[in-house]
Amino acid sequence: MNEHEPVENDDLLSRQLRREARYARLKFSTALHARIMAAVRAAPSPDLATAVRKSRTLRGHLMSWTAAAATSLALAATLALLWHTPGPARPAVVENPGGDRSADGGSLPATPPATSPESGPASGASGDLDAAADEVATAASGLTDWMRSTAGDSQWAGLDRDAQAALATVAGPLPFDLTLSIAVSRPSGP
Amino acid sequence: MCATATSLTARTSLGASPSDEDLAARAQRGCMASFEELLRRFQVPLLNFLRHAGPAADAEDVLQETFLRAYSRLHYYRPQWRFTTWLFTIARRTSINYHRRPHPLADDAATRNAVSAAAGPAEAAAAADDRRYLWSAAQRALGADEVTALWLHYVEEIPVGEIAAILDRTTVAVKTMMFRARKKLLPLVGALGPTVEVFHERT
Repeated sequence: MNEHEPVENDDLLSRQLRREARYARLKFSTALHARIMAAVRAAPSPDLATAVRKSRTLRGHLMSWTAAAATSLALAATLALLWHTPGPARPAVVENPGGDRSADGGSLPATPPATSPESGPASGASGDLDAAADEVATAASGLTDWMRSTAGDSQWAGLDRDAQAALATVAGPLPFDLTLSIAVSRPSGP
Repeated sequence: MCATATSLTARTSLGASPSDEDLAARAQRGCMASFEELLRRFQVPLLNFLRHAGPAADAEDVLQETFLRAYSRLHYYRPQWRFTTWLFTIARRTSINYHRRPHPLADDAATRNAVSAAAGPAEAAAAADDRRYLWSAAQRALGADEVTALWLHYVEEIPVGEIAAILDRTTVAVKTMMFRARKKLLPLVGALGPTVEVFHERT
């Protein structure tokens, strides 16, 4: 038996299917064309331009809301960071984290040095600093929850997925943990 | 800007035609002439497809319903999608829904005559030789999705990946389905071969 027979048969089959389809192919029907166009014109107009604009506007609004929320959050985080960071003292502490804090001009007594900014709260953190950090954390958490619920509850033709993606993009790089740890590990305030 | 249907057709014949996707985008903006041009382009391929995806007698009604549905959902279409795939997907689903619904029994003879009249003498001959027609044999021997996959692949020359999208299956599933369908049809090629050849010699 010829080993190429299945391939040849397959080829024969495909050729035959194509040829028969071509042979039996219907011609364009003007009557059918007119009938369908009449039905389309008689159908209630979906107001396509408005529908397309609306769907795109909705997507635009969602992206704008997300961007505005992210900007506010970033602004709040930056303000909180600036509030708890004395300008001239910062380089000395960053360059020499284990050094004598009294040389920085800080008003609080020297505390055991923090090993790194991510190592957790310093032992001498004051109550109002904790409260401020809590406020930032609560605001961040609330905003994130709001964004997530806004994106999650809606099912606007797949736009929720876009919003989730935007949320992930925006929320990922924002340094919530870093902001908090820096704020808490810096005991000096204005 | 929305051209008239006549000017779009003239441009098509000159070879400077806009793509299906461009036409769909214009139709989305409310250009009825662009939608009409799409109907002109897809009437024959879709009608032939629908004749093999379900009972041939219903193909024109299903075609009309397909275009009505496409028109009403045009705002869901995204230009990055291939329009052919989008429209064939609608056509297949419309066909399935149409044949699920109960329909009053049509006068078979009248329907057959109507189809024959619309198809012309060549197609009337094809209908008379239905028993010797390989596609008819395929419809009897294969499942609806198998016939659809074969038709889209061999006749419309749509890539397997897009057939998978139309059938809402994976590419591997479609490849397997087509392999099995070909395997089932191969014996029929031998059985129908001489008759089919005679059938084509008459053309």
